Amino acid sequence: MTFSLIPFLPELTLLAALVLILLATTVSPSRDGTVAYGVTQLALWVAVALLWLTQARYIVNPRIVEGVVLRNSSTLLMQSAALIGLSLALLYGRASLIRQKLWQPETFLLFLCSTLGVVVVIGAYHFVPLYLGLELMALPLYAMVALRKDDAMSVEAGLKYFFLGALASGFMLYGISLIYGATGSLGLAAVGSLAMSGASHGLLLLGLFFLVSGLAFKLSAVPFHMWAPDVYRGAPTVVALFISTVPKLAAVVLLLRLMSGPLSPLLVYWQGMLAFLAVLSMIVGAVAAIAQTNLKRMLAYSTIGHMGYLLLGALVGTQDGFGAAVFYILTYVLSNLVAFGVLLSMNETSDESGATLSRGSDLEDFRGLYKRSPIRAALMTLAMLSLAGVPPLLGFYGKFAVIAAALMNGFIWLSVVAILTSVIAAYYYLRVIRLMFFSSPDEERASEFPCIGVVARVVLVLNGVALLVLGLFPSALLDLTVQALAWARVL
Amino acid sequence: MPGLEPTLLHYLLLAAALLVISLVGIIANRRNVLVLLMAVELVLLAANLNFVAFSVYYHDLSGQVMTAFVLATAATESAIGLALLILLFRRRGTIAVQTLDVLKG
Repeated sequence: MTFSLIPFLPELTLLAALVLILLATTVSPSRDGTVAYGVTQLALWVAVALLWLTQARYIVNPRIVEGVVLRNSSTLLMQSAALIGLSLALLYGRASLIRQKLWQPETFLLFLCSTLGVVVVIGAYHFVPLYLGLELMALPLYAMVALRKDDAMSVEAGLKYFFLGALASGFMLYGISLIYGATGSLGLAAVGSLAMSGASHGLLLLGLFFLVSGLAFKLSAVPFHMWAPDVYRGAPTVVALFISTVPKLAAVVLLLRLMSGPLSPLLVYWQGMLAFLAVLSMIVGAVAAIAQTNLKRMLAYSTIGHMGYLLLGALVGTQDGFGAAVFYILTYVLSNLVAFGVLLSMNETSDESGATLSRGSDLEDFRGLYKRSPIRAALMTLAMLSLAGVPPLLGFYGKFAVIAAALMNGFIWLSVVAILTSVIAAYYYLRVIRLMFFSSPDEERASEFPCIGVVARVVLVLNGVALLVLGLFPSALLDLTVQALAWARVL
Repeated sequence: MPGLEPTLLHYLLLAAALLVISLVGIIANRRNVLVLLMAVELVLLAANLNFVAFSVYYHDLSGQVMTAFVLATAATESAIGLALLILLFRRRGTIAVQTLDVLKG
């Protein structure tokens, strides 16, 4: 039997781009990031193309390569989402990166490295690539959060994220070691066969407990959410956008893969854990966001709330539930990209000492935005309505699918909590809209908007319109995810 | 003495003790960020000890292979942690835990 590298071509493309940028940084004295940016975007799109070219045949015939890496329709879908997500994030963040003097090759190196980790995690069917992928995803993030070295907030956010993140990875690893102890093998398939057998599951469940706590940290689910608001606030906005979208995809896939495949016989045990996380996340996400005066912090709590809804879909434990959760994460990523895209197009400036970076992301900066820039205001409105789950926007169908799946499987109380919290959450999303449309601009804060590229503008508008159009025809994306999961069999 | 041969359980208890020590180190320590870093690394060592113990118990090498990977990531992790610590020290002139309070709310 020969070993073929063809299924790994997308990962190898990213790796090649990484090595290329790294070598170029050492050889050339230039500190300008334009070439690195170009290489990154090219590598991302080549990787997407290769994904669809080389892996289309796994859509209906899932394959586990060497018992280690999974290739099927859901990995194809989520890996493309991760790659396209990074591409859009960098496109929207380009102007902001230049303004903050982060337009350097190293920045793109870190972004690419983290995305490679995400892609590896999404494909992992064995604990070694799973752990290594998670670390590859997380380690560059710590550095990315602290990229603005002379900003006290950025460094502090980086340190907080590092310690909590490293502890979470440690927990996860401890969990994996216990699961290894229970099964005697590092493959996910062995976990499945042990869970099926009638043997005692004590060690496995203890390991699962640690693993789920680590995953909850990555998802920023309550009570493992403390880092999120500080990190979103302190990190450069592009990095906050990245953290709130791409690594979440990996965490969700990982959670759903464990729950839908190997651990499905232990449904009752993890359902309780996830229900606990889901309820707390939904409540904290809705209530704590109301008090925020900074949009980035508010979006952090919004993310926490959204992860609660997603967990609600996951804990149902049926194919509809998993499909709803995957659909939910996709709608969330699309809406969040628009919200952060508008935020990135606002004028974020440092004060003289460079110590704090407040302007442009405070809610006050959105006061009367409609009069100053109708397009920004309109896009932000679409994003906020979609995140709030107002029909006919895409976000509504995400919430609808999740709550419907929960209701149909008899989780009445959880659905009631979900509906109540989404009503509370609508308040703070609508407050942003009220500020933009029904308040007059604050002259003191009204500075010139920065120049952003034509391509970024067009794509951002298209992204915003997509929220509406996909919302009007929700079956397009919903059917895609449901079909992908049906083909995938093992998620 | 046959009664004092270490068994699998002893190794697991030792690993669990390491985990508890590192958690106590994280919660109780209010002074030095460097100690936090040590505590975090201790969690990885606890997991490693589990891997090695189970690997010997099952006569399966993959646990020891995992240990090698974990050691490599642990080294990377401390490198990044120390780099962040240096940034903090340059910025504030101290690495006390209490000074991490610019971000709140």
